[in-house]
Amino acid sequence: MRFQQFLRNAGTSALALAALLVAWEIAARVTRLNPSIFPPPSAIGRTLLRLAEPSGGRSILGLDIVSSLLRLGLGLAIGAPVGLALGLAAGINRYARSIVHPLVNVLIPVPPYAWVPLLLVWLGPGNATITAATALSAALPLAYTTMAGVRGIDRLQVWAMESLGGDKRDVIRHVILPGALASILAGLRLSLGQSWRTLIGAEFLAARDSGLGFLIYHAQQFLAVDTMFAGLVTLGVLGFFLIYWLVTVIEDRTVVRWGVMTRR
Amino acid sequence: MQRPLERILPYAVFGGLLVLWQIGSDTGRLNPLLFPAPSKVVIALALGVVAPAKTGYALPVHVAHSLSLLTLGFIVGGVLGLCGGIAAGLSSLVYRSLSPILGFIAPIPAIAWTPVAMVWIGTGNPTILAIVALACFSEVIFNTITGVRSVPRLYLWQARSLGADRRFLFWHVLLPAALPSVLVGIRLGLAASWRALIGAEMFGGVAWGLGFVLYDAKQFYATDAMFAALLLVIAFSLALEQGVLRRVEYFTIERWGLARTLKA
Repeated sequence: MRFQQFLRNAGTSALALAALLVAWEIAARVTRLNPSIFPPPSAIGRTLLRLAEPSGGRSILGLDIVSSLLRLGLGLAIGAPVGLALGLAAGINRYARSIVHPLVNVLIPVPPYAWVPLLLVWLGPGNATITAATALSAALPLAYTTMAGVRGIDRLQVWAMESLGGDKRDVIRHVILPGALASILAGLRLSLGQSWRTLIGAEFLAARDSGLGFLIYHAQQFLAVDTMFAGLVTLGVLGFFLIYWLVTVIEDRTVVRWGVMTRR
Repeated sequence: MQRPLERILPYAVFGGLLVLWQIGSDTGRLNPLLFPAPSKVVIALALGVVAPAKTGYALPVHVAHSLSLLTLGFIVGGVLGLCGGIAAGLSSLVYRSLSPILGFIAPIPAIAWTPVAMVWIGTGNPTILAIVALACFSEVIFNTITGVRSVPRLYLWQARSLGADRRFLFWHVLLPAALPSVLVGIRLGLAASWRALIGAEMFGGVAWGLGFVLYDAKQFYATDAMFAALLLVIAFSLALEQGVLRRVEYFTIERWGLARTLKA
């Protein structure tokens, strides 16, 4: 029954999507607008294939995907531990909190794109600026939610650990980290989303020769809307896997399995 | 229970950093071009307000320009998202038809559409407006759908069995019950609009707005003006977050007892 319902739902969705694509295709062909500016879906598909096709041993789209993902990965690898450390420190120590809390509160609502010109002045165009912007956007939400998660831990659990003879390390390892993990993972989801957006914006302004943002932005010089759409489709697919699927898998393996978090 | 040191520490740390920055920049230890002294930034900010001819940036006009585009785009995107969200929340046919398109749009950062919008609509304010509206739209529609779909069926049955007609059901049962989620959407939508606005102003080909000042000042290495614009962006981000969003939440759902915000 469930499965049939799923099939019916998926069927309607597929039908609606197909109808939209067909209508777009027909509209683009019948109106005879410049196909470079209003490309039909078939042309976008062809462009996507052409970009993905290896030419001279290298695929342009593959190269852009790899360099975007490397920058994102590097940014996360730098930003997430920093954010986590700041959040943990601020959650545990009141003096650290008195410095980190106002800083994070002030910086968190600022659009991350606003840092890109500043970073461009400091680091110049290229990977350093993009990675730094991505790292910053990853660190802030994680610091915020980690701090909130640690502060939300029941004092009794800490006291219980201490009265059982646990030292500070035991408290952090066995009470604070598992207790705050659900918040930390929620923060990681926010961080991923935020740094994903920042990555594309920073690549618009600072990428020198590669990246999905670079691909989309520079298609503008040639009015190549089909290339832009090819980039956007890639962004949509990659972003879906990164932002929704990846974190969901991590959550399922950890907090959901431990019963700290329940899925609705 | 704040300890005295806790209260003084942030002022000491941030004040100390500012003083060091000022001294470093004045003595040339820090490159004043990359790290303009705080006093220079304040002067650039003041000049931008009082005597724009001297800095080249009439900051109040740029602020007014940004805020009006933000308001307009937020309203357009919010209303579209609200209507679409209610329609998709009520009718499963609409939901199933829209979901593949929405699922595709969601992981793509709104600003990634800027090059497409620039080719289709042309450079200038309408493009920025479209991007700001799109950013708001996707946040609002998702949360509205969630809100409407998660209204307990029991409420609807109960009201109907007491003789409520469709109109009453919509205005007095469905909408209030969906409101907390809708307000979350509006809140996220405003934040997303603001982010997208700053990004789109940087590469949307306009000559006004805070994002434009940031990027333009960077091009000319007018770093004091760039920092002044950054200060304004930070100030308005905070004002939006604390002044507008928190207050909206307080006056609506908190007062009506639908939700309580956590006091930090």
